[in-house]
Amino acid sequence: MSGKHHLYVGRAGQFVVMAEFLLRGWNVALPEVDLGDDVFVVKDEGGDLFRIQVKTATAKPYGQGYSAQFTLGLSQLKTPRTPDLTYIFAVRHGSQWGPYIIVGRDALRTEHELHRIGSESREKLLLRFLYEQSQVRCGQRDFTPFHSEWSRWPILPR
Amino acid sequence: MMAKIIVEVGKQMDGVTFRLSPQTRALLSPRFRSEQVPASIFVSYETKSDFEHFHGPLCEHVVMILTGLNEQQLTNFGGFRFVTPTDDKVLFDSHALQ
Repeated sequence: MSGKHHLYVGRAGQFVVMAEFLLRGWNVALPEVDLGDDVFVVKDEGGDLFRIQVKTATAKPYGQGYSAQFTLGLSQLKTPRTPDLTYIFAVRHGSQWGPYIIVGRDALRTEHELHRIGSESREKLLLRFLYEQSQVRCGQRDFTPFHSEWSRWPILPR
Repeated sequence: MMAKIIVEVGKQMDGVTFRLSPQTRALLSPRFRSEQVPASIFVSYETKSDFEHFHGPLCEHVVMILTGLNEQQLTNFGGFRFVTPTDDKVLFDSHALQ
């Protein structure tokens, strides 16, 4: 597997999340200069704008399920913005995509700073999610509430 | 005297976003069950400039909106501080006014 494989996986995750938004009736755009994993999501009527950062990983076997490790920048995690950022963690498990973990920047930061999920290394936060049956955990924290949490982007009427 | 209230500041091209630190929100969370407060406030640079021209510093107003606390209650908490969350640089400290 080439050293660039992770770049391809990352881009695949970005596109599959974009596809999910489109299927729900929300428009999507990529920045002209793509410095990261950002996706802009727009509600065509009204112009509501959302910033999404997609993080993608490949699953590894773990217990009865699998695990995936993601890396994000601490500076971005800590900084409030308007509109604020939402992280979507996409995991490739075998030949399929696993459940999307959808969590707002502030909620994720609260989980890290108050409940000690993840580990810091050189200005990055490393998160390891464990997926078992229909449950998702990060450290000792139950992340199942964030599993496929699309409520902010309901399927729009056609 | 209780811990100081921390407001985190995110500067962007068109304005500033203010939000309570996670620790401050946890500290105030019993109040938030009965008080309706916004999770964050965005103020454009233009609005900030106009407001401060006529009414003075915006900071105390921002912290009262984010916390639902009045001036006396803020004092009882030990005051407040505005910081940039990436480096904890203090941008404003209410004690500096006293």
